Amino acid sequence: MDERVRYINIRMISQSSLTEKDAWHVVSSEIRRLVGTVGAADIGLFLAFFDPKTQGGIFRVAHKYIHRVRGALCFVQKWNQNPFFAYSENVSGTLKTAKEELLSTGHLHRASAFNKIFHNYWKSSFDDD
Amino acid sequence: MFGLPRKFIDSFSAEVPEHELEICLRVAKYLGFSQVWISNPTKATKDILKQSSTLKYPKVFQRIDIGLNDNDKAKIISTLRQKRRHFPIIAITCATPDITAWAAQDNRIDILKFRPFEIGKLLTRSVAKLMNNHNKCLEISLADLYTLPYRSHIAAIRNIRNAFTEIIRKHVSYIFSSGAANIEHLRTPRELASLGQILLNSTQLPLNALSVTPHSLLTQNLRKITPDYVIPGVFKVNPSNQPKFEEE
Repeated sequence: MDERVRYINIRMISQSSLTEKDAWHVVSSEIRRLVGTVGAADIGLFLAFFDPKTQGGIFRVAHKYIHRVRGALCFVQKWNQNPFFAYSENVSGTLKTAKEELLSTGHLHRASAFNKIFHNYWKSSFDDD
Repeated sequence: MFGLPRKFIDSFSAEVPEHELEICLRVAKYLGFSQVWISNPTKATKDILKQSSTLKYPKVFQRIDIGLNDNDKAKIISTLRQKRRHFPIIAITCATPDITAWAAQDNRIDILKFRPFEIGKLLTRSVAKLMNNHNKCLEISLADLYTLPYRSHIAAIRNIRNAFTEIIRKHVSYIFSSGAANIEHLRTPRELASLGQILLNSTQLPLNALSVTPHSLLTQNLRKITPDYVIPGVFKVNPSNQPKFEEE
């Protein structure tokens, strides 16, 4: 069966804002740790778009291996020794719809709510220490 | 045909601090869970839940989680006697083969849990058979897996996969949950299902383990805590609901 591509939106929340390079490293290193380099090659991971303002990235993956990317995201806990949270939003068939979804009001509202919640949480846990 | 969207159910760990419960529920709602099971609720927790509005949070159900600290059989039995009529779900984390074999046969217990590095040793084929005979459910808290240090991942994933081969062979039902102790451990239902997919090598089954299976277990058990329940399969029939036959 032919390989088809899917675009998966991943939103990242960290104490300092991430660059495109960081976003790529967070996801690719975790996938490589979980499924190895050969497994990562099967997935065909490619960062198609990154919005530094909303800290959201669109990754192109093979349709058969979306679960590997999402599964690898579960294991992401820290980035550069700082607390980090990443979650997948939706999967679409074209880059155009993926971009629309990434910048849609509903997803942006949820991302800003998460930003507020997590920054307060990290601040309070840092104060406790 | 497309049906209704799935309603995902999550259960939190018993270690969630009271002051973080509210925020955990909010995050769970944002992540897409429509129902959350809370373990071992205290009086303060119940007060928080009463005050909270249902729009902001997912639907909450309370359950009993017998942890590793009280793996003394007499203590477990006394806890069960006191609380089983008040909570729809009773789960136990098994740490020894004796407790596992006993819990797999006890009618009061609904869910058996194992730590990822012990599951391979404790969940044998005979235990899986007992679980099937007594309608027990296996719960895998995925946070236990993804919060482990990296060096333990290989052994843990292998243990869980081996346990699942026995579980599937003996047709035992299973559920996945995050088992989160704080907001950092919470994940979206689709991510948890994807991790389940990696463990099971199946697409639909992990999604069912996060939605259909826990829902059916809960509806079945909510009936169990009604005053009409006697023993499995026997219910009191309310005479007022009985159809009346008029004598000719």
